[in-house]
Amino acid sequence: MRQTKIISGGFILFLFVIILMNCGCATTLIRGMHDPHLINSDTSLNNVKVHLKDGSLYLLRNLFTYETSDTIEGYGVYYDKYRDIVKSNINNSGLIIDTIFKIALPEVALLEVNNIKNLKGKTIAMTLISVASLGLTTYCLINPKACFGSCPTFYSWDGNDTTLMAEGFSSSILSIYEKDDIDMLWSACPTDKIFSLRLTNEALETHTIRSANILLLPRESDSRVFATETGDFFQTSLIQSPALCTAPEGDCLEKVCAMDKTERYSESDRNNLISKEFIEITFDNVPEGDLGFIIGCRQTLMTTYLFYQGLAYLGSSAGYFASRIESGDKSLQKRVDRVWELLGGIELFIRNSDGKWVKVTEIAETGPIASDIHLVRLPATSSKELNVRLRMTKGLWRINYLALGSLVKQVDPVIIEPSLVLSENGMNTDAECLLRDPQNPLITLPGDVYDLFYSFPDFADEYEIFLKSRGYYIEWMREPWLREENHLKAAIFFGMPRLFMKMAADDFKKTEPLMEESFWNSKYVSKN
Amino acid sequence: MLVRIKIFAGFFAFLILFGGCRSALIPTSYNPGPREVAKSFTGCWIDIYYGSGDSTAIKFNLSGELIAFQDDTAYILTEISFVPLAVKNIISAKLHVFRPQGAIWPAFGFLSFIPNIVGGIANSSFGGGFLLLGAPVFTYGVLSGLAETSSNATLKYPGKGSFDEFVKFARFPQGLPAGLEAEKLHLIR
Repeated sequence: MRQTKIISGGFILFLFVIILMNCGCATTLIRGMHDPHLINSDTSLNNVKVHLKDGSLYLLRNLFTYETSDTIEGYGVYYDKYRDIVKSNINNSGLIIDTIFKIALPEVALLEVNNIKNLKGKTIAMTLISVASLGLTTYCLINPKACFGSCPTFYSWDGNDTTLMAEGFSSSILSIYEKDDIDMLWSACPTDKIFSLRLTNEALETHTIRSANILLLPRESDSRVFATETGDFFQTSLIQSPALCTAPEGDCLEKVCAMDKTERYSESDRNNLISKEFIEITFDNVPEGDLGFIIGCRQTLMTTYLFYQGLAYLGSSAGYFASRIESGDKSLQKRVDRVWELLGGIELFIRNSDGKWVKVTEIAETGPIASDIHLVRLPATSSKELNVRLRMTKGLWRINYLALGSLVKQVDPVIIEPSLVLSENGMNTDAECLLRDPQNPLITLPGDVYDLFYSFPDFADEYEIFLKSRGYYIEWMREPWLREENHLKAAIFFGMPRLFMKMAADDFKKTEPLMEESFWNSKYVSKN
Repeated sequence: MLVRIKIFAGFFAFLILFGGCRSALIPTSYNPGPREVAKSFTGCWIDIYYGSGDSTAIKFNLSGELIAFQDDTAYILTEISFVPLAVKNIISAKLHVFRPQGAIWPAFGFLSFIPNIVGGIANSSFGGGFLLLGAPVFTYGVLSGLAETSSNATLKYPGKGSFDEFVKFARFPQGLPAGLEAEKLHLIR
């Protein structure tokens, strides 16, 4: 359940470009005075003032000039030199009510044309920013749970920028749920033997981090190393994309071919939040030997929504129920677990030689922030074609990457502990114990930022980088949530979750379309 | 958080109240918005501080419509008379071309920011978040307002405006027309 305070880089860039473009752009009037004898073409102009030599003035909405004529013509208002109206051939609505003015060029002293610069662009920019700001604010006012949120986030250098790489132990919402979390740092790009990670607490949460170690796995240049759900690592080669990938909405192959920002996802079911859907994948030219199915994915914000909604319904009693679970109330813990079990993970099936779908495993890593990559060992097959089916809750998963690889060998990681941990202000915060002694964890509060440095050994080969973190976090109760306290709904939520998922479907549907965008556009929490 | 909100609100109020302060009173018909300039049929309003170089001579302020510049003389139509002034004795002048926009943008930014203040007060847990959400629109408003200081809404002499530039904003940029009867000239209401 991680919420963030990250403004997307593109959004910031967009705003700065607009602001910078307009900083030096004051509203400016350009007044041009033209000699009428220089007008020698057939043309028409709008909003022109014709100053006559006798001091009178034509204020013309439309002016027509002719190459072969010594008169100019137009529609508008004619004033004498004292600026009293003499005649008008248009009315207030701009409709023509009289014959056109014909003005002899020899009587004309000057033609005046006015242009206003920078006003229109500025007005449009201001309107766009205001509408965007108002829309986002309104949405966040109605549904603050979707905007400002929650868990430990890790950033690193990807060769171009410092980007989000992983989120730690998102499902560890109490100490009793504390567990190891292994995340592949897919695009990490170490520049030297000192590798750094930036650890942030971007939510109204308390993070207790016992360890954050780097796992290095040497590999050959034409292969990569992936981790299974059980924490085993396999060097994988001959990685191939699916030949076909079909979801209920149709072909989605393009969205899952690369570990990029393009994801396949669907919207939730309007009637039941735990309705399931299928994705079917076909691989051609399947190599012989041990095979692994590779999937990069993350959750949508549905789990975050439900988690926060559960806390809101419990309201002031949330601490009491949390302490009961922490004290070993297994019955209560099962009720909580049941909610997440109903949502489920991504079930993976393969079609066997009899044409039947056989379940292989279920991937269930929690967290809507960073996509993680999982390896699933597949049963041996002699067929050149492999059919895989994914079954998952509609609107719960964002699939980023699907591939098939040949498992070369199992490899063991080299574990690297942080050699230095610096807080944001550059202070070395007790290097003896930070993130090295599980009994003395690093505890972070909203807005905290730490830089973690790791000394890499010399490797002859290339290597894969994983992060293994362990800890848990405590979500802070927010004042607006307390206003939603409702123990009857809490009882339904935890006692009859199937019923609740039907009851909550419509409400979630209303917030779903904007949740992701609002989440990523919401701002970093400020530290008071 | 409430203290912070109060500081923000005070700052915005300051900008709104004082951002558009003007030192001169200009008749409405001589104070068009930038889009209305093209429809104006008068000269621009001008404030002049006038006096000869002699320290004993009388110096005075005068405001009115700029009628024309001709033969080193500026012709001004005030509320009560048509006044020719020797250009060489004009100590300073301020020509009001169009209504300055310096206060408009911060005001716009502030108005757009109000929902964020409401959000910050209503949801104190996310107060900082709501204020930050509105920061771009407010920042844009303030910066746009500051940028207006380089606008040519007002031309000043001495300063960025020369009298050659002022000429274009007179009622008669071509110079005084022949046969003009000064007593028939009147300000436009």
